[in-house]
Order: sequence, then C-alpha cells, then structure tokens
Amino acid sequence: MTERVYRVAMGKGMVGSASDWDVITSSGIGSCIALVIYDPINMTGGLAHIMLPAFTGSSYKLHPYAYADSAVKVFITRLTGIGSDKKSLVAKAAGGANMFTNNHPGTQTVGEQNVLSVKLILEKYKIPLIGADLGGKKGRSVELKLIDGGLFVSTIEGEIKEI
Amino acid sequence: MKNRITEEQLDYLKEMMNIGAGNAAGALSQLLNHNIEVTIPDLYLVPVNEVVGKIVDDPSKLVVCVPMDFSGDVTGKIFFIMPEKDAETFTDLLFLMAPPGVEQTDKVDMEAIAEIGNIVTGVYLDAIESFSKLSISHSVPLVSFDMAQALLDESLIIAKGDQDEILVVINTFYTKIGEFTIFLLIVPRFEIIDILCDSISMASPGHD
Repeated sequence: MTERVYRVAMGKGMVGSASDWDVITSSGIGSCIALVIYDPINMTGGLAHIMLPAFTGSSYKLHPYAYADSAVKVFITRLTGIGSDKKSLVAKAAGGANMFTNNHPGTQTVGEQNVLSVKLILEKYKIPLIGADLGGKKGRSVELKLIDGGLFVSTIEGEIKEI
Repeated sequence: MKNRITEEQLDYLKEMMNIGAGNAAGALSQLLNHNIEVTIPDLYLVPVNEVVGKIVDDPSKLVVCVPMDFSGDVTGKIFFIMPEKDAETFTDLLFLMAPPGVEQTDKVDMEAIAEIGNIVTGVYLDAIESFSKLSISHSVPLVSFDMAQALLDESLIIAKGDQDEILVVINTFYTKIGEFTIFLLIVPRFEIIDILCDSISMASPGHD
C-alpha cells in the first residue's frame, strides 16, 4: 500500500488521524517552526509550519497556522473536535534556526523569537513539549508518523533523527 | 498592493537589469579570464508566497544564498542565489581557470560564490544607480548553502509585513563548459518601488 502523505506548505497546517494520513510532512524549515500536537490515545495529531511568534493586529493576513499562538488554538479546537481529550495532548517542535550569522548581535533573531513563543504558548495551554530540535544554523525537513506520533527531522547533512 | 507597478515602470526596470546583466557578464569574463555570454534577463514581480517556487521546484532543494543589505536613498535586502547544479557548474568553471597547483576541494565553493555574488550585485546596483540617479550601497555578503525555503523564509516573513511582491531577476550565463543561472531577489522596504520608479520617470526622456 502506498503511503498517504500530506505536505504542509509554509504558513499552513493539517490535522488528521492515522486513518486519514500515514505521514504529514513539511520541508525547508529555517527560522520557521514545525509544531506537532499529538494525541497518543486516539492516534490523531497535526503539524503546522509556523512563521511568526504571535498573531498581532485585527485580521489574519496569513493563515491562523502561520502564527504560534493561533496555531495552538486551532490544534486544540480541531483535535478535541475529533475526539481528543485536551489532557492527553503532547507537543514536539523542530526549527527556529538562524540561517545566517546574526548581523545585529544582542538582538533576537526571528528563529529565537519563534522558539520562545512556541514554548510559552505550550506552557500556557499546559501541553508538554516532549521532543524538540530547535535552534542551530541548518534548515530542516520533518515527517510526522500519525500511527505513533514519531517526528523525524532531517537536514541536508543527511542525518535523520527521531524526536 | 499599494504600489502596483505599471508596465512602463517594469520596462524601465528591465532596461536597468539588462545593462546590469551585460556589465555582470563583462565582470565575470574578466575575473575568470573566459568568455561569458548572457541573455536578456527575465524580470518578474512575484507574490511573496511564490518566490521559492520561482527558483526551485521543491522548497527543500539546495541553493547557495548570498544575502546583502542595501542602503542609501532606498533600503532593503538583496539575495544572490545559485541553485546547487548551477553552483557546481560555476565552481567547475572557476577551477578550470585556476592557476596550476590550485585544486578543487568542494563541488560547490561557497566562499567564491559569495564573492561573485558581491561583485555581480554591485554591478547591478551600479546600473540602477546610474539609471535612476539614486545613491545605493550594499553590505558585506554572508553566505549559506541549504534548503531554498529555509534560507529565505525569514526574509520573506519580514517582507510580507511591508508588501506583497518581490522583484525577481533571472539571468542565465553561457560558458564553454555549460550554462549557469543566477537569481537576484530584491526585497525592498516600504515604498522603494515608488521611489525608484519616480526617479526613473524623472530621468527618462520626456521629463528632461
């Protein structure tokens, strides 16, 4: 049987169960963050390719999945909508790299802001971050296996790690 | 988009980039001591979301990316980009022309490409300067070799706040060992297109 793969584009996301998709994947993650929220009991989960730390302003210029705070809210709504208990949700995250040398030492890079924001928001909603591969200088691609919530992170050096 | 560019303005930009391309080919020919031909560049205004797709067919494809800031009468970011295959061809060419004893160690010589990016970008900006009578300078180049989208996402995010379209210049250079294509992404801050076009219109015939 061919693997059913859903590809998430930058600033977008997908939520589903193991009966919908085998794999949700996203590639070319630099300062962005791939955030996974997973429910191990129902084998449901989602992946968002987050671009910005927080939604500011009055109307969404980008998709809600593009902002760390609104992405988490959408995840919770969608996952509880398909039968998840909020208490059983866990999170994994990869990304937040700084692809070039920071030209302005002492200032936070977009990557660092994204990492900080994701951690704070997960804390606020009491979702434990059980796996993370954050920061660094390399771009990443990620694959979420919906059957067990395994998140595989690869870089161009060819190493693949599961978090 | 607040500053939609007119056909006429796009033609001026094309003309500037055409001069830039010719000068770039001249500079590269001299530097590599090898005849390099260039075509008329393609110039597009591309929505931020589609920029990566204009360069590579898959966002995780590898490119060498040389980002620089430009400042002066107009400010913004400029990216000199070479997809992996083109960077390899260029590196081969570089070492073909190298003096005896200089060995090629990497398939892609990032430092050399950073320097070429620096020079070529300077040549293009010179063309814009002399055409528009604006003063523009650019910063020391950085360089990285990674997935196209990963390298650009931060800048595209920042650009997204200011405007919806980015200027993409595509240029193919022909050499005796093959061709290579470079991409120049011009990510202006705020009203640069307006400033640029105003000063081009002022400088163009009919306003003289």
